[in-house]
Amino acid sequence: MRMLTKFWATLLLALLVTERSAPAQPNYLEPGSLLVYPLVDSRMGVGRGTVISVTNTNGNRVIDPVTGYRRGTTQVRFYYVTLSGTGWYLTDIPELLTPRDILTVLAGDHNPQTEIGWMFLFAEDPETEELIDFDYLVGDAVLVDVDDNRSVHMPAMGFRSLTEEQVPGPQRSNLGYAFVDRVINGGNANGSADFNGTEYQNWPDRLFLSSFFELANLQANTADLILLTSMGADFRVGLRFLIYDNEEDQFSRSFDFICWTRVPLQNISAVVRNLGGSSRPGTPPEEQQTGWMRINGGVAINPLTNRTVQDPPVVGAVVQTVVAAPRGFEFGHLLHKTGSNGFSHNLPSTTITSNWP
Amino acid sequence: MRLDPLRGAALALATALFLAGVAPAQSTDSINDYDPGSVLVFPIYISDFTNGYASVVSTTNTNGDRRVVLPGSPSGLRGDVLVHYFWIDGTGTWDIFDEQALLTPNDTRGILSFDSLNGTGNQDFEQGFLVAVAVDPETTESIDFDYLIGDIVLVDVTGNRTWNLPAIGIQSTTDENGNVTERSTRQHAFTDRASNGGDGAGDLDFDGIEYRRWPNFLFISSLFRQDNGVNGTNNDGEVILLTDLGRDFIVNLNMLFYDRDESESSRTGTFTCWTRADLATLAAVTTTPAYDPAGWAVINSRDAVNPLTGQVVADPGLLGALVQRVIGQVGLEFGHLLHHSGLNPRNASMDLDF
Repeated sequence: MRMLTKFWATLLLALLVTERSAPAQPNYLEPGSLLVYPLVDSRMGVGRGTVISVTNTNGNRVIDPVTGYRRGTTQVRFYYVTLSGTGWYLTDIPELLTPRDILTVLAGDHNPQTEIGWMFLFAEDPETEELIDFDYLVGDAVLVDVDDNRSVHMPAMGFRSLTEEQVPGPQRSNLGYAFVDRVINGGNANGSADFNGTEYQNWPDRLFLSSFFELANLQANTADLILLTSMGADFRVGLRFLIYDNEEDQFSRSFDFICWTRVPLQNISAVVRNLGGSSRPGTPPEEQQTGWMRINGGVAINPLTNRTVQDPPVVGAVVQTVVAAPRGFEFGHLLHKTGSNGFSHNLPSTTITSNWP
Repeated sequence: MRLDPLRGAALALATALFLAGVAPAQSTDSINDYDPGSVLVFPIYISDFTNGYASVVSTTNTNGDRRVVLPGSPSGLRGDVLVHYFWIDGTGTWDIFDEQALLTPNDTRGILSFDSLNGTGNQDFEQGFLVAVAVDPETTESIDFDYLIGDIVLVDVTGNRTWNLPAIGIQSTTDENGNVTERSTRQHAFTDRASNGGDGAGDLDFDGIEYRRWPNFLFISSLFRQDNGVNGTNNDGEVILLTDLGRDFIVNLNMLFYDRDESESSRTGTFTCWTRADLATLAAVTTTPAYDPAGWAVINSRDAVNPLTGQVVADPGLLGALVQRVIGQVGLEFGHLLHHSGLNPRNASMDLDF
């Protein structure tokens, strides 16, 4: 009898928890607790630059008597990531965002390491510097190439923390935000931001490049794919591409990279040089010669330990240039996506100097 | 009366299951812009070839099902979809020009807006927005076909500038809600049929039953100071907004602008159907030094009024994008979709005359 009661109570609790659960699939454009900027260029003096913005949409201006902070205040920690040689290098910079605050920085000033790569930032408690569920951050980056008169604007990818949605009465900071990584709140206390559907939303399962122009003239049009993974420099990430031309012919291709890459489409497959299209009989004359791609995770392998990971998590963006002499046009956007990647992975959240006396 | 704990728990469970069963199934998820959808919204197109503006619209069918439909049915493949395009004129007439194109499995279609619009005699359609809807190739009814993705490239040949936007993907919820009794011969659920939970009105209902709901708040995550010639530069930008209510209503907006010091300025505004509003005109505060290097804004719809009938609609649906230009020694143009949060309390609905 007692067991039966316990069963029904557990079932009811499960129903309630299910009702409270948030989608593990990210919606990039919703405010999140962790933002990913897929392309950041900190190199200065070469006509290039990146303007990075992060905005705190939380407007709680009540002053907390314990901490002295306004309740809507958060610390965000920028992590600039670059790949050099065989390692990935991270530079972390904490910044305080008061309620309704916006911080706009020139990447080269903010991170004088003259690097190109990607960036992520997350919300942390300004007192303890622990990760918190603070789904109020939005951001974007403008990449400018003054010499070539080009610019691309991309929103940051927002990932929500799921602690608040999944844990009734979580342990909170003095400012009132649930700690993400603590065991009592369902975290694994590993000092990292885990994309496991518990601490944060999962990364997407598959990516799409919705369209790209034919790259027949190699001296003119370009299209670069930007791909990044959270698996650092320890893993060589294998991807499986399916490339479709303007006649829906399918071409498969494998490709691998480490940490982050900006790769011309031609380097992935020569198919992009000839997409068929309007040169073929029966194709409507208004059709442009375009193609598209599916990108699936294959296998990631650590060459030192031989550890393999199926379906490694990847996100990305595209930057295209169409040159109609004497002009050059540049544009780009985040890659479309679908599904949730089931592999639990993480990004470091511990400040790099935290063990310094 | 004392209730036995077991019976009490069972009663509560039964009540919960009963409510879940009789209540109309409704998704509580908002649109997921970058996911494939059954409806794509391109917040802006420009097709003014005389003045050097053009757009290239791409639509891709990511469904790769090449099985033939059941024997005895009309020929075709399971993954075929007919995409019904609705070009809405934003220059004041709010007229709609529609066309259809069949996308076979894994098909992509890139078109110049000029070829679709101006080439067919629709000279008024210089700018506005575009809605692409997945419909059944046989019945031309809207279907749950969450396989469409798209993007648009906007080119200013004269100004030597270009930018692009992904289409906003809006997912159908018909299949997820589990009420499907009628499917097309290609096995895709009809979204609007009453037997599937739709209202049978021949429109697009963003109510969590036919399609996912629209957001409640829009954010301009950052905007540069609109300095209009100060310091030798001429930065300007426009916010692009569209509503589901069409041309019969004037939409009233509530906006909050924040400068770099978090100082708040409120502002109201109005528009009809679609607008490309100059930020400096919309809120002159964005021209002040406090917006150097950047500020941000929140946009929320208050209500909409039909000036002819006096009808008032609360919480009209809003979607939007941002474009900015930095014109100094060089001219740069860039933009992106607006961030958003929450669910619009009102169910947006688009009557596009299928």
